[in-house]
Amino acid sequence: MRVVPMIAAGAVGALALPAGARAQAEGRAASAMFERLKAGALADARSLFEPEQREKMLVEARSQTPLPDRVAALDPESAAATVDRATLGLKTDVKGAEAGIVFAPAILFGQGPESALAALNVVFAALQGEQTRVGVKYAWQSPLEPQSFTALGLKECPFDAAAFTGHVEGLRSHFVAVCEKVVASLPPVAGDADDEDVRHAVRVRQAAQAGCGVAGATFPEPGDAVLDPVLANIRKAVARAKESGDAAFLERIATTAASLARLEEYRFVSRWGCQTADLVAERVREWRWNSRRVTWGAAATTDFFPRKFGFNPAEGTSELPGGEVKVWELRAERAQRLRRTEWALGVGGGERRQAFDEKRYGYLAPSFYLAHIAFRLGRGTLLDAKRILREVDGKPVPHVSLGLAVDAELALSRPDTQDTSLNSLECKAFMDFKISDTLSFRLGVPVKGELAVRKADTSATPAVTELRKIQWSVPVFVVTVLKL
Amino acid sequence: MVFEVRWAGGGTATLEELLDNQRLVGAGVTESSPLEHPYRATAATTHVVRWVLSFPGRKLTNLAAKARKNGGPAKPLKSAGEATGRWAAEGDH
Repeated sequence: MRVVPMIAAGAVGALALPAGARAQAEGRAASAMFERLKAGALADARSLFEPEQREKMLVEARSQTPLPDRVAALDPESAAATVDRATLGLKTDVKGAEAGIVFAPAILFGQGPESALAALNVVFAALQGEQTRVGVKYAWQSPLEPQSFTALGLKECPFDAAAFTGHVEGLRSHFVAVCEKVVASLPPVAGDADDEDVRHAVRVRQAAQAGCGVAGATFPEPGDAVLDPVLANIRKAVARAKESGDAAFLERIATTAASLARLEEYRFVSRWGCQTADLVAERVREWRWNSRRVTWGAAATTDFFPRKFGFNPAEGTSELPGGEVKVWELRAERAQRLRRTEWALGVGGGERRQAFDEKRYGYLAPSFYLAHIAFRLGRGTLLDAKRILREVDGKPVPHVSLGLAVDAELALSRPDTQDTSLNSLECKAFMDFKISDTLSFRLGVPVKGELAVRKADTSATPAVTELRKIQWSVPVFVVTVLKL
Repeated sequence: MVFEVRWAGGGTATLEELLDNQRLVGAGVTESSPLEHPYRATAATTHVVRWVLSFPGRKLTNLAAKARKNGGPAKPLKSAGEATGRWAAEGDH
């Protein structure tokens, strides 16, 4: 075993002084070092409470607080409602479709929901009569977020510099006493110099002495010159030195026991004493629920006739369809949600024709939608103590929304044989069952009026002329899968 | 440095604050056990690590925090038999 030749740093110069003068010099050096460590602790503590730190905390809380449903129960057929990944099903999200798919390509290709392209949806659908629909829609939600603690009804967490300085200053006399009477004369570290534990103990001793301002002692690492680790190094060095068995040293430790205990009791500040992340997250949730959230939506869709080839039984009187455009439409909507209620107003415009060889006529299509979260499915209350939709494990409880949707299509121009400017009208009362994130369906009762065409027949007696009039239908109910 | 905390009782907990030698090195990390948080710290002989772990309304048992330095072995910082709602503690490495 090789004993580490460790002598108290600074001892050579200090030994030249009488004991009293030496103690005074050590006390002054410790006090000066304490002043430096206190200034550093004050700067570190202050930085914890800087606005950037609070903003960081708020951003963290926001990122961990899930947004309410993009639009909680918005009519999935509307332009302002987009899906997060994809929906696929029969008579589902695509209005009038037999089968359709709506998907968000950006998310399917790996982008996060925060991406600006996440709300871009692509629509493909098969319609009646072998017709096809292709479309895109995009929804933009107002980036309404709380920007400060005040907006959340929380007071700013203040940093009390005077209280902190007093807290640290209270250590000074104890720090100086321990440095002067114990740390300045720590016995050398004994042990095998190749032993990592011994080498570490040597570094701890050196760091403790440097922290006490012992002449000639330097901090082994740049991060040692901080009050928190200096106190830890003093505590560790003293604990190790107790094992030396030096009677004089143990006596000095005994006389400073109270001061050593005070140094051990010291705690640096915590910024979480004022507001916790949980409280901030809870306030963010309340703020979002009680804030009006507006969504703008835009959609462009085109319906195509099928392409047909080969034998034409009506050759000479009519052609086969060749993929002509049946309908094109541009639509804009504004949807708004506040607490349990949401509504949307929209208007679309485009052209449509009944047959592929007809002229297209322009139309305007206003729409209205209203829904209200009415009651909870299962036991328990719908709202929590804060009057917010209750959540279990971060997910809204299963609930039912009641709603009404009205879609109309008004002709801007029309054929002579059409006796009304109303191309279609659909009023639909519905109940949306939101079972979970991935399962919801709708029971609806639509009252629907659509143009029906009586074809001309010149061979009949008397001759029948073409006539287009509204035909009404009321299915008993319709089940629509919203999400699977 | 890598800070690690384990517990029994399931669920997630949030590391609300992690200080290393008076510097904020982590906040708002939510994970289930074991929660691991790697961070960069100024080189020091001793790292005084202080943390606040929150788990509102729940009781966790067998809490244990460790730290690893420069890829070395994990050194226990502190352990606790149980804590309710929050565990604020410190240790050094």
